[in-house]
Amino acid sequence: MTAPRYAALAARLLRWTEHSHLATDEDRDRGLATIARALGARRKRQGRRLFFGVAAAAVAAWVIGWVSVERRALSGGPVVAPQLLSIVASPIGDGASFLDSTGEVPLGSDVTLRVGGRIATGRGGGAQLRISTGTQLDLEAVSTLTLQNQDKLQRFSLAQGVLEAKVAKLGHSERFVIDTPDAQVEVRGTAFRLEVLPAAQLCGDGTRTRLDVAEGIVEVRTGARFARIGAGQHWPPDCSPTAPVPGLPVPAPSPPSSGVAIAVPHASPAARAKPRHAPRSLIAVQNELFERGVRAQQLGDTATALGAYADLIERYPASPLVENARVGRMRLLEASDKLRARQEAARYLERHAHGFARVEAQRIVDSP
Amino acid sequence: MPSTAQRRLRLVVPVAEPSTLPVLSDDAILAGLGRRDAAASVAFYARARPVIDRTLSRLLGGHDPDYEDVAQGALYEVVSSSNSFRGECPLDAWLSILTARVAYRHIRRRRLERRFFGKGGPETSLSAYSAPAAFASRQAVDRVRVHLDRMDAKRAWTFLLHDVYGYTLEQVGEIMGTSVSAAQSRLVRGRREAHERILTDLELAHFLDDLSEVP
Repeated sequence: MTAPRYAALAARLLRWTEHSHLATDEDRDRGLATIARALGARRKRQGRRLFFGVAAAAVAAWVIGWVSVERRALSGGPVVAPQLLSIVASPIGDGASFLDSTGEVPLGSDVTLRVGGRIATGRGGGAQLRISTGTQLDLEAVSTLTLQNQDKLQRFSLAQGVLEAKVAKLGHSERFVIDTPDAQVEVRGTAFRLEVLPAAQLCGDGTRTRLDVAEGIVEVRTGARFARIGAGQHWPPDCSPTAPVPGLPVPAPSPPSSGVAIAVPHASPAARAKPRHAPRSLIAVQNELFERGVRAQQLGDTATALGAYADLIERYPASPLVENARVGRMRLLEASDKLRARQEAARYLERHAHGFARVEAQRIVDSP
Repeated sequence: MPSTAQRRLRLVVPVAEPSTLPVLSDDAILAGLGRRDAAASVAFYARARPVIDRTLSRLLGGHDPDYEDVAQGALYEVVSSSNSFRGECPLDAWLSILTARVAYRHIRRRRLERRFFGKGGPETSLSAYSAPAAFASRQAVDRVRVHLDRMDAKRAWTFLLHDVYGYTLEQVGEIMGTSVSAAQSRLVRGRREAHERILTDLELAHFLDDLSEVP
């Protein structure tokens, strides 16, 4: 069922729009009071239901009479606490920091993780996690991973950065889930690479999550949608696959330092992975050209600025940035070449008769 | 001045740092809520609030004057219903649907000219754009909103929930209190109406034509 053209395009535009709201401490206090109120109301409802239920049961028992029925425990046995998996983390490269309810320390080798424990890596840093199931997770530089659950549901959240996972085959009722800020990834015994970008991009409906699957099947959920990604596939499908990050050197694990609060060390720029290139949409290319011109203009590099603006005007004459590019050229030329400035101003007035810089352009045209 | 790449690598710290919160899984949180455990309530707020905010920011806009009231209403609704959550779908999806339902009911009751986004309108930040292009895109978004406001409300909502925010027809039906077939019918008609309205808005149509060249 495909949408009529402009409805589909309008939906696409609205999806790209980012929305935000930050809850305040006041909102939080109010929220906790709301939760208490809701729980109180729920308990009252349950109390009424229980009362009527007991009363009905008593009546039924009286009606049935003195027939006794032997009851067996429905559960069939004692309740067994869920078995917790063992998860051990070690640093790689320039290391990582480990945070739990007691504080933040450098990550030592073979540190046992508990629910709520968080590992954060800086530039050049990394960490490897080994789960007793045989699953291995490699956390790359500038990444943050938190353990959310460690029984039959193995669950992590990746707030930012890159995670490579080799997930051991899952048993019956076992699950392996990773939450990102805007998606949930669930795997079925596979190898994959998951990344959270620092900012949304135009492809993929603005999601910051990127997934590449090497083996098996991974399910991705965003809001109310989900997709199954197979081996060799990439998600979102309209974003180009992320370039593999060069492997970090793996020295022998370093002994933990003595409990000093440490900021994650910064590696030299050379150690940082090469920046990845997002798909080059037309609007992104236009933005890039325009920004190149603005930067060059700010740095006093007139030739580069003029060239970038001219490139934008020639290649994308219908771009919403063309008017600004013409104004940029006009101003640069006014300082260096009055004849060309007047020509540029005249072109501006011809094409943007009601433009925001028409008064300025007219002044340049009229100048001696 | 830091380079663009360095700026983009800066960590955005969430409102509540994990180290200050009780360490509980989703199941433990829901179980703790049932026991009225204080730590579970705090953890549930931290768990549910971001999902509520994500949903309401889209449906109402972050600056809607009723935003916080609706958010509290959604929180009340999810807590009241939390003992009926059986894990048939991800918790986030469940929270999102209940929140959307509360938002829809609120919008229906509200008698304002701009029915969808309130006076302020949603924050239309398009992060990949420079200032002039972002301005053009914001204007386009504003115009789309005006057209949606003028449409039949139920059709517009169905179009938004399904085509923009990705809810299935079943979920749309659950949110709007209607059957799947009714939701489907409204979706078809809503799309057609949106298309025809935009067709008469030449500047917006032209902008969207340019947008169609973006892969």
